[in-house]
Amino acid sequence: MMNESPLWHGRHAAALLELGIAIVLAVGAGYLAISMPSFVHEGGIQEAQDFIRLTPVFFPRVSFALTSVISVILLFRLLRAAPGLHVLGFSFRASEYAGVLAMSALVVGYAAVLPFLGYGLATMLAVAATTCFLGMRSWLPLLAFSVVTPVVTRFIFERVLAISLPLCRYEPIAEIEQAVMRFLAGILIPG
Amino acid sequence: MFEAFLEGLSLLLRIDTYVYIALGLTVGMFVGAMPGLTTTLAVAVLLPISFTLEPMVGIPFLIGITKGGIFGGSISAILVGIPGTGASIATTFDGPALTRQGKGRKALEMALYSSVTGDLISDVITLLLIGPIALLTLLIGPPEIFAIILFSLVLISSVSSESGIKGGIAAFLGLGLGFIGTDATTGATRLTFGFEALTGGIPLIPLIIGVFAIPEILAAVESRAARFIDEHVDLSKVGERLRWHELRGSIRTILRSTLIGTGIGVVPGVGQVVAAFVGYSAAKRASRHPETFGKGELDGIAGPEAANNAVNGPTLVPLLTLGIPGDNITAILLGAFVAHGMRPGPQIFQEQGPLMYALLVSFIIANVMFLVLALFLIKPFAQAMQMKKAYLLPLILALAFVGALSTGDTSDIGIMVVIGLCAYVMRKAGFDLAPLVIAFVLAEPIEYTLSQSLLYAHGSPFHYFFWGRPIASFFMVAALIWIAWLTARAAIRRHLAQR
Repeated sequence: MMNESPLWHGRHAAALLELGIAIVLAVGAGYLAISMPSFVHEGGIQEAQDFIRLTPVFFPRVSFALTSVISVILLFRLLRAAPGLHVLGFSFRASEYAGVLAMSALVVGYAAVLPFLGYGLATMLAVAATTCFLGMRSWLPLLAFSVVTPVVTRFIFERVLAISLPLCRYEPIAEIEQAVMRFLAGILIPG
Repeated sequence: MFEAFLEGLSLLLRIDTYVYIALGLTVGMFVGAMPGLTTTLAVAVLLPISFTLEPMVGIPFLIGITKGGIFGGSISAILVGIPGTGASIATTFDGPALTRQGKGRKALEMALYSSVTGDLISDVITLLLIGPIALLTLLIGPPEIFAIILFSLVLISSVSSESGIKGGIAAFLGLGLGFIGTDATTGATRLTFGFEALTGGIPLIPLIIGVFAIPEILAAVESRAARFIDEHVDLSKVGERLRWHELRGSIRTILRSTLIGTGIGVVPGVGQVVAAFVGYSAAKRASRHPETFGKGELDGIAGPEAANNAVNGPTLVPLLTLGIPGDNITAILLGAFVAHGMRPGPQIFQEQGPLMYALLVSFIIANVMFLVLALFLIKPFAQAMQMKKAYLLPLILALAFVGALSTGDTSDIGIMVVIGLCAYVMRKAGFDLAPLVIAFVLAEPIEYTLSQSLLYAHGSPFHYFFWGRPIASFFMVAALIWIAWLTARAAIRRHLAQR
């Protein structure tokens, strides 16, 4: 009965997550350490390598090899600490992390559309989706917040701090974005 | 040294420095007051703003966020017993009890005065000591710097994670990531996997924002609560102001904790959380009535608050003199210095002495500004704690993306997102990613100093390090002893647990 408690599930999920990460790092870093020479592109100054007697392979190989070795130690510790872990029939309860998965998808989607839609439109959609996802259902504040956030952040970062942000690839929308910025700059930035 | 200090004072005569310090303090306090958000998140997301400003404006802005954030964390710790940041956990022992007794305002003001005093005194100590320490670091060479970096990484990895093994994995992984891109010594590119965007290495800003902002956004949606704090904060019942005799009664505690925090701040990796706990227990041990601790004791606020803020100044000592960041915030600050064309290390006080002193003095002035600002802002920020996540998180997300885009390369947002998602998973598995970020920024100095050292060693590195360079051998032996001690301690604990 105890084994079905949420605490048991939580601890077990964490243990399996640790185990998974340890395996991925042990194998991945080990592979990188062994195959390191094939990950160094041709080029570079051979004389410099001869002079310092270390190739560009040396440091990454050492750090990945040590990552792999320590991950193997972690793996053994985890397996020793939880005997029978592999036969306990763990089931990941996705419902607990449904919100995180949805938010992760939203972040990935935002990153995917931003180069095409530009900062303004992509942020407007991302803010609207996030705000709605977090429980805001009244459409007026949702719309206002979604429009104001990209406009204000774009104005501050582009016009005040000189950090340029990508425009929409569809020119009519890009022109609207620029017109809004020019309008705000005309009001708020004297001269 | 003194000439550089005097010259630096003239750099302080500009209004924009103070405007941005005030802005940083305000933002920091606000973020610190939100229990789901950390000061590191605020510094990471707003880091790109500092790049567009001159160093004399941008770096004090980031420091302002840090100072404000640590105190901000104590607002929710005192009023509702939920620490806004890790540094204010010890404040929850007595803060809520004082609030229940109708002494919330006294507790908040005690936290403020202790924080400002601790920070101010430690900043002055830092200012006085950093010049001579910087001169000493000029006497050491690449082998010593390599050994000190190695020792610091071992310390940071072992104390920042719940398990030293996980800290070690994070550190070596960070080093591996730091080696991606063009090798500074030979010019060869490595580990780019055919991605043009990786030729220059993983950019620091997307990495920092990915590690510190994305996991916090995801962690905030784990709980379905609409707000970070659901409890109602009734500010009409916080009682009267702190009296002078009450503050005077805690002065010894404040000074003791300040010294504790200053000492802890110099050691890489230990940080504010440990300082706050040590400050609290020292106050309890020294008290004539230790039984009142945990039941609403003003010394129980003064002890941790002075200690955790006193860490701020001294963490800059290893950063500025050796280029070694001791925690997340100083790792981000290192990025800010590098972006401004400065590489903290033994040479920086020779090359940029006046600017360094001006920055340190501005941090002292920031404390005075903080005292004035916080007195006005405590109340509105106590109310803002109940702000809905639906407004805060989208804003942070938008700012995180702006931060990644500030490099001018849209592919950096992909790097940020990938790193952020991996960082969230690693955090869930109990990995502290501070060693990863610190090792990442130290990868280049490690490669450079070890390459130089091996060149000097003429094929006999062990003899050279352990016999030819006593300071380097001291730090390397210390690192080995520390690792041996941690391994033995873990084995003893396992043995005792099995019995």
